[in-house]
Formats: sequence, C-alpha cells, structure tokens
Amino acid sequence: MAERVQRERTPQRIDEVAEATPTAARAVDYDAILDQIDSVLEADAEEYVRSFVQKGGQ
Amino acid sequence: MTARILGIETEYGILAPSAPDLHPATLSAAVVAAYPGIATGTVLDWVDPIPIEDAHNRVLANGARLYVDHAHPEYSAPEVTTAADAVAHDLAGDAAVVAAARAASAELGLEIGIYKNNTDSQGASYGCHENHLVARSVPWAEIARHVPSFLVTRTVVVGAGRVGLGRHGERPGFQLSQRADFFETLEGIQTTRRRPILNTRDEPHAPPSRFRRLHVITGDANRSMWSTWLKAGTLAAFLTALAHGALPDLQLADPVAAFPAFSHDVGLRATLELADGRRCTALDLQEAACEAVLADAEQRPEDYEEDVLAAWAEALADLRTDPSLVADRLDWAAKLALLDAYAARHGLDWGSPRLAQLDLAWARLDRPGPFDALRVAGRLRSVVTDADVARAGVEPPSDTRAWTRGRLVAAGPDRVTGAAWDWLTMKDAAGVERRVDLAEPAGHTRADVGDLADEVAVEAFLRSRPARG
Repeated sequence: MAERVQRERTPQRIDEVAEATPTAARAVDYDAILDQIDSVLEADAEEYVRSFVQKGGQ
Repeated sequence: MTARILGIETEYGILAPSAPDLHPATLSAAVVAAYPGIATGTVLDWVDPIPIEDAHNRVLANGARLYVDHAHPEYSAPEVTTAADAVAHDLAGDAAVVAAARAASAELGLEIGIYKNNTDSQGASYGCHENHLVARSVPWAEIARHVPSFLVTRTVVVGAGRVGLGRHGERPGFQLSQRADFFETLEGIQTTRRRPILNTRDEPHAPPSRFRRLHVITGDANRSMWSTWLKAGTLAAFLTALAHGALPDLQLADPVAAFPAFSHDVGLRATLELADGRRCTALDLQEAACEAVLADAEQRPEDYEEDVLAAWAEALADLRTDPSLVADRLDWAAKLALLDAYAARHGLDWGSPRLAQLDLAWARLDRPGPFDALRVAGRLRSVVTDADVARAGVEPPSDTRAWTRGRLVAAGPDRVTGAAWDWLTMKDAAGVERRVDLAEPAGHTRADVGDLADEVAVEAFLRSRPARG
C-alpha cells in the first residue's frame, strides 16, 4: 500500500503547482473580470434563466 | 487495508436553446455518438448497470464511460487511486463532453450548451456521484452511523454554491450547495426521487465477498480543482479512518434536515443538535473529523494522502478565520465573492435574474465564462496541470484495472464487443472473441499487463485469455 501511494502521483506535486499560482495575481481587483463577464452574459437575463429547463436526473 | 480506489461520475446539464422541442435524451444521444476521440461504438453489450435499451454507451481509450442517463450526457471517470488523479480525470470528462457537444453541434447545426451544475432551479436535479471501494469487513452499521453527518457538513468545504433557495429557487438567497434542497430520506437505494443521504446501492463491480462500493449521491459537481480534490480526498480519508475505527462518536440528530440547514447558512454559524443532545456547527463537525483523521494518519501514514489532509486542515482553519480566505480555491466561496462584486457594481439583490444568470454562466463549459475569467486571471489555485488533464483524456490511470480496459479500447475500439467495469470482451486478430477478466479494481495495472502499446502485445494478451462461449 505504501509503495502504491508513493509510486503513482501526478507528475507535478500539488504544492509545486500551488506555488506556481501567482500570488500577485490574486490581489488584482475584480474590475477587469467583471467587465469581461458583462460582455459575455446574454442581454435578457430573465429569459435566459427561465429557458434553462432540465429533465430530472439521478 | 483495502487499496484506495475511487471514481467520480457526472451528469451534465444540456440545452439547445434554439430547439426547445428536441428531447434532451435525443440530444444527449447525439452528443455521445459524436464524441470525436477513440471509443467503442454506441451499441455495446454493457449489461450492468445500464440496460441495453439505454445503450448509447461508449468506453473511451482512457478507461472512462460516456453514455446517456436520464436525459443527460454522463461521464464515468475511470477508477483511480489518488484524489489528484480523480481531479485530472474529472476535468478530462468535462473536456470529452464539451468536445462531443461541439461535434454534435456542428453536425446538427444547433447551439448545444453543456453545464456542470446540479439543478435548473425549476425543480430538477441531476447528480455528480462519487464511488469509493470499501472493504466488506467494515460493518454497514458503522458506515450508516458516521457517513451521513460527514456528507451533510462537508458542504462548507466542497459545496459548489447556488443562487436561490428551495427546489425551484423560490426564495432569494445564496447557499453553499447545489444539491442540499433535494434530499428527503436518510437511507435508501433510489437516486431520482425521495433521494437518500446514504445510498444503499451495493454493486461492487468487484468480488462482493471482499468489497463494497459506497455510492455517494449528495455531492455537487465542482468546477474548482481544489474543491474536487478535497471532495474526493477527504471522503477517501474519512472512510479509511472509519475502517480503522478511528472516528469520534459525533452524529447529527437529523442529518436530512441538517443538509439544507447547513447549506443555507453562508455565515457558517448555525448550530444543530447532535444525537447526544449537544449542538455543533458544520465546521465543528468537519474539524472533529479532520482531527481524528490526522491523528490516525500519524499512526498509519501509508494509508493516507498527506497533501490532501494538509489542504483540508488549512481550508477548515481559513473557514474558521474568515470564509472569504478560501475564495482562491473553493467553489462556493469563489462564486460568492464574484456574485458579491457583480451585485455591488450593478446594484443587484439576490432576487435579480442577473445573479441567477451568472450562476448558470459559471457552470457553462462550452464557452468561456466567469469561472474561466477567474482562472485565467490566476485567482484560483490549481491541483493538476493542463498537461495532466490532456493526458488523462487519452491515457488510462496506470495503477488500476482501467489501464487494461483503456488500452484494449485504444488498440481496437471496433473489436470490443462488450464491456462492464469488471470484464471486457474483444475479438482477437483471428476474429475469436476473448473474455478479459477485470475483477480486481487494483489489479490489471500497467505493472501487471505491461504497456499494451502495440498490436503484437495486445494480440499476445488477448490470445492468453479464454475464448468466450
């Protein structure tokens, strides 16, 4: 079991990937992102939400 | 100790806005049929659990299944042994369904939207199910005692977040979970009505004398990698501690009522009664579970994923300090922070359809949306790389039986005549149908069967298996 856990990790370890996430970027404010969102959302929110109908599932 | 084996299956929301009369089962079948990667044909003799009449059912070269279930395209990721591999294969599933939807969209001349969420807020819910292999020696009574309280409190960590309260979103507000408003009973075998917190379906797809498969239906489909990682990894760790008898005796008096109550408590302050009469918050119970798991991991580190446990403890500590701290990694908090900023900019309240619209756009996979905007801006922590996800899309996990399944499909998808999780039939080069046993979830691995990377190796492998019939 120990061997199996150690043997097969994803190639890049979690902490390495986490460190690669730019901390400076996290401090950026939301404005640019909100601009982007404004540009991609459909104009008629009410209609969009109402038309999202799914059949049931599990 | 049973090897850790787990897998995630996701039912995706699907919508063709220009063709509202097209039945979603038909649309889903078109999507499954259009999957552009290497896969078996759509009519495959898969006997269990999907009956042949629902056989829009394909096995992919990475060992996954893609099929139609209850009018949704569904992707069952292959069996994996680590939470990080579960993340890579979950995201590979998103990519596979999006690629299939794009191909179907081009064929049909229709826009097809694919959504990774769990409700339309108009009464329907569809699931993201988790499967964990558990040793048969673990008594069901112990599972029934410990697991429900864990599942209804982990929402504070792994909830996907939802705009709207109630099955129809009839009350304005935000809650931690997509699924919490759709559960009515504590225990049962059903999944589509009177949904139970604890699903008793017991199809191990492995020798039943040694294994049980715990089928978990309460979870949300997550977009954030960190949420998926903790969803898979903390439940696996909790079940390991359960098998060791290392969990504290802390159970909610009424887990069914607690599920929505905790989900609606965005401030994480609500206390509910335990079976022993004390009162606890969801965070209290998660902290108690995490502490017990960490203590057991001190004794048996080889049975746990250390990085998962550290991330769990860190997330709980951050939630205790200030829930906005986890907006860089957990779905509900990232979504809530964005909704708050959007509402502030436009002067919206929770009843505004624009916030419900943002929630849907967050879940939409086939075009860039708000989640992608956050990710691209570097505001969300990663667990695996894009390269890991791309590889998971074409290569099966090497350390489970999915290796053999996927490699055989890759070698000759048209020669595969039938498949289930624990067996596969395939014609050899001479046209003789061979039966490949895949009974051991932790067997039939790359170490056991080799690369199976070329025709000679695959032919030799098939010829060593019994002819069918």
